[in-house]
Order: sequence, then structure tokens, then C-alpha cells
Amino acid sequence: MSKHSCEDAVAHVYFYLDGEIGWLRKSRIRRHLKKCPPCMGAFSFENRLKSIVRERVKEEPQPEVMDRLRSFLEENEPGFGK
Amino acid sequence: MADQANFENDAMQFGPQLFSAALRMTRNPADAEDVVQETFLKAYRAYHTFQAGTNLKAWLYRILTNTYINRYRKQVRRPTEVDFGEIEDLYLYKRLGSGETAGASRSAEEEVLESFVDADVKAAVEELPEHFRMPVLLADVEGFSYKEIAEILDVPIGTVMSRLHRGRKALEKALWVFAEQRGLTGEQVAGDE
Repeated sequence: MSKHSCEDAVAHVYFYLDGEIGWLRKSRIRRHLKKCPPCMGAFSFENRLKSIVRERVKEEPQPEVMDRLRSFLEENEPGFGK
Repeated sequence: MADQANFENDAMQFGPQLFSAALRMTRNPADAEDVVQETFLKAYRAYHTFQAGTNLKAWLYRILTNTYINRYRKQVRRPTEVDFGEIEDLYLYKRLGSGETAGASRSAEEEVLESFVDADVKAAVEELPEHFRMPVLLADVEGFSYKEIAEILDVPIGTVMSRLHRGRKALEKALWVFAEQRGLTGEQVAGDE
């Protein structure tokens, strides 16, 4: 695998995974990944890391937090919720 | 123009998400709640300026971000323990692995990712300096586009890219520290717990 196409792929890994990449470069990288298992492994890893961050960091507030938010708005803005 | 009467219906559904984001910004539930309350109050009062049909979620996040920054910018942050200089591409992947080819199943490197618990990832995110933490949260947790993040943070899109990409690498470095501490890095012998 040419060093240049691996470097090009790695340099654009975030743009690619974020969907912030033009179609031409995207298809060039996709072709490269099909032929290059090490780059494919790296892309798959970075993609999984992105989801791990989302899954592990998200937090559901206690229902009371939303209740308090509503009461706070009603107190300060009598028109709220009317 | 949006009608204030629709605010409850339109905007309140984003409350839990905004609270979750505020928690990662302030790192403290009480402060997060204050920031979210102030955000919704400002949003309610300014709702007539919101262009109906445009991105309400991004509009709310912009108010949230500004509220947080105005309240806490002056606070001295605890110094970070990680050096955030230039970090190489694929920092964590290269350290975790042999680079062995992923077959049908998950690679060994990805297995290590799965073993990070919520507290590890939260701590790694919270350790990031604010200018890295915000783009990472907005992109990876909230799923905003670069353009939306640029609008929310009021910085050029090139700045978003640079901070987001560097922020992610800094996050990888912080996770590597956890992996080492936990003995998740492959060669360690199990059983010294």
C-alpha cells in the first residue's frame, strides 16, 4: 500500500467519520480502505471511539431536575406554560 | 418569528440533553442546573427573535454555551495533568495495538475501548481544557456539524476543525493514561488487583 494514500487517509479520518468531506475524497478514501486493512482497522477504531464517547458521557437528569426547571420558569415568567 | 406560546412545546424537550451537556461543562450537577435554568429563561424571553423553522437545538446550545462562559470563564481552572502539545494521529490506536488486522470480530484495540467505564470517559472529557472540551462535546456527544458548532461557539469553522481534532487526540491521550493505570494495555498479567 502506498505510503502516500495511507497518510492521506489518516489525515482525513475525522473529516471522513464526521461526514464533513467532499464526495471525491470520500470515494478515494473508501477505495483505499477496502484495499488496506491497517487503515480500515484504524478507521474502525476511531469510529468506535466516537460512539464510546457519546454512549459513556450522556446522562439522563433526574426527573426532579426538569420539574424544578418548569417551576423556575413559571416563577420568573408567569406566562410560561399558560 | 417564533411564538412564545409554543416555547414549552418546542423547546422543553431539549431540557435533558442540555442538562447533560451542562454537566460536562460545569462538572457539577448544581452548577449545571443553574446554567440550564438561566439558559431556558433567556431563551423564553428571546423566543420572539428565534427564526421559526431554523435549528432550535443549535440556538438553545448557543445560549447555553454563552451562559456557561459568562458565568464561569473567570474561574481559575485546575491545571491539567496532561500535556496537550502536538499529539500524533491515531495516538491511542497505535499504543493499544499491534495494528493487527481486524477480522470478522472486533479488534483487540476495540475491546479495550469497550472496557472503559462511564467514569473513565467522563473524567477524560472533563480533563480537557475548555476550548477543546466544547467542540468535542458538541460534535461527538451532541452530533452537531462543524458549521453548527462554529455558530454555537461563534468561532470560524477552521478553528472548530482544529480544536475538535486536537481535542480528540488529547482525549485519546487521557484515555491512554487510564488504560495504563487499569492494566488494560494488553501485556499486563491479570490478577494483581
